Amino acid sequence: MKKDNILWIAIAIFIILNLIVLLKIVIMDNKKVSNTTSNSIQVAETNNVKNEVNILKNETTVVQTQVDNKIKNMSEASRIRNYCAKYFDAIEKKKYDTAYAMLNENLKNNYFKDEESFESYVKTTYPTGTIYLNYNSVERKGEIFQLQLTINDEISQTMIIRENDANNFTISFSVNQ
Amino acid sequence: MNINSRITLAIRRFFKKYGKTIFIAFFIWLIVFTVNQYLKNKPKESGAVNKAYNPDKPIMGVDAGTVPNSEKETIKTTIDEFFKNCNSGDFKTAFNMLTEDSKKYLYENNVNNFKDYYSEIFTGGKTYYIQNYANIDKKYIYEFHVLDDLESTGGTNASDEFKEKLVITKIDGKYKVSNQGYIGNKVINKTAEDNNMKVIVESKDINYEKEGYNITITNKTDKDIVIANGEYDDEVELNLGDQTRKALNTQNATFVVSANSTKTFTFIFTKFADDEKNPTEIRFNDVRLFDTYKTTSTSSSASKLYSFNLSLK
Repeated sequence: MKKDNILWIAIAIFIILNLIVLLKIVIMDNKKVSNTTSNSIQVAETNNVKNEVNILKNETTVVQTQVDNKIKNMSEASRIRNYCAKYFDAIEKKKYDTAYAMLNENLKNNYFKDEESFESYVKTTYPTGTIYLNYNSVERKGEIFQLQLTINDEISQTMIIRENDANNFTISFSVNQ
Repeated sequence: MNINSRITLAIRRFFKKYGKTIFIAFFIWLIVFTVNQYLKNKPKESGAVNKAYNPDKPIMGVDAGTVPNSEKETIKTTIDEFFKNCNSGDFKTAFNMLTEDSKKYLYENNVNNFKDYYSEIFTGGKTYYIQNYANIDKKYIYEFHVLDDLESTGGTNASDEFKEKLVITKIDGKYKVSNQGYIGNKVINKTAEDNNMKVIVESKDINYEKEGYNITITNKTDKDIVIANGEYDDEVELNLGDQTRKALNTQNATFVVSANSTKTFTFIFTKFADDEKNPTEIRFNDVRLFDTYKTTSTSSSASKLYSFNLSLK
């Protein structure tokens, strides 16, 4: 076999390999798009003027680190509002176990010893159906954030959020007794 | 030769001539495109989340000095220990962490005064956070926030947050604390004298936001001397060179030295410790001599009215 032919065969194999890699990337992209479910929660921000904003959240992608990286690239205040929205999204969808898992352990011990008591509190406190949040203020207090918000223009609530890492947070809230 | 054959021949000639070049160009493009796609889709390692909270970064900016990296942890440990002592009600141990100046000038060396100051604030179950504010001559000033344990309560029935400045200073190799923004006492010992009085600026108590000048006045006459009684709003001023500051405590008090007697007063002025201004003099703009001073006396009944300046240089 001529040397020239060997070179051409090698180039051909290399091109085929490249095409395989390309094909894999294209398939991965499509898969990602089809697996991305966006759940919207309507959140209104109040800085004297109330704006209703749809926050796209709970992006479930095949690669969890990519979600974390997206959150890492958000501003600090946006991340905190995002965590708050996640909590209320779980309540809106009646995923009480998910919301309960987000709570600070000391808050649980003080007010909600078990999931049932939390569920009962949520059902009697928050409106059913779509939840709208008006963020009146977001204030950093060292490592924690204090949010003052109004739920569906009815209920005033103080939320305390600690962010441990991207998408890793705990929530506390003022309990109406 | 028909048209189809001519076109086919032309294409063949074209590829014969440029085929290799086109193939190499396509080959290079394919590699670049593939590498680009791979890098674009590669999961990024962007590290930890970007948090704005940096307790060691001075609020007043880098011009306000910085806390040396080697000292950060020790300073934080000192503040943490101070907080824990106060929060657990061990005010005696917390008091012993204060500088001698703080003990003396803020609490008259009495731990009960210190306890009285903090007992309303540390009512149990508090948390805290700190933020470096400014740093002056190796004195590290932190804002000290004491608040309810909001994470445990969610802010239910929360009381107001308490805030003050803690000054952390290394004395004899150990960090000491000074609260209420108090930095320390500086001896001045400057004297000025005229026929009516002898004035000694003994020292000043430096707070981050103000300075209190301790001044002893000896009345050499048989008349009462009024330095300030609120009749004028600029009776006592501090000259900073490019501006003057009125005393903060002369409007609702009377500063009178009776005939042939000596008295020590403190005049307080707004003066930020890191404003890089050097006080040059204290001005008594309305010194009044009365045969007998009464609270109803005004300048019109004074036997003498004049100004008196004390150089601080």
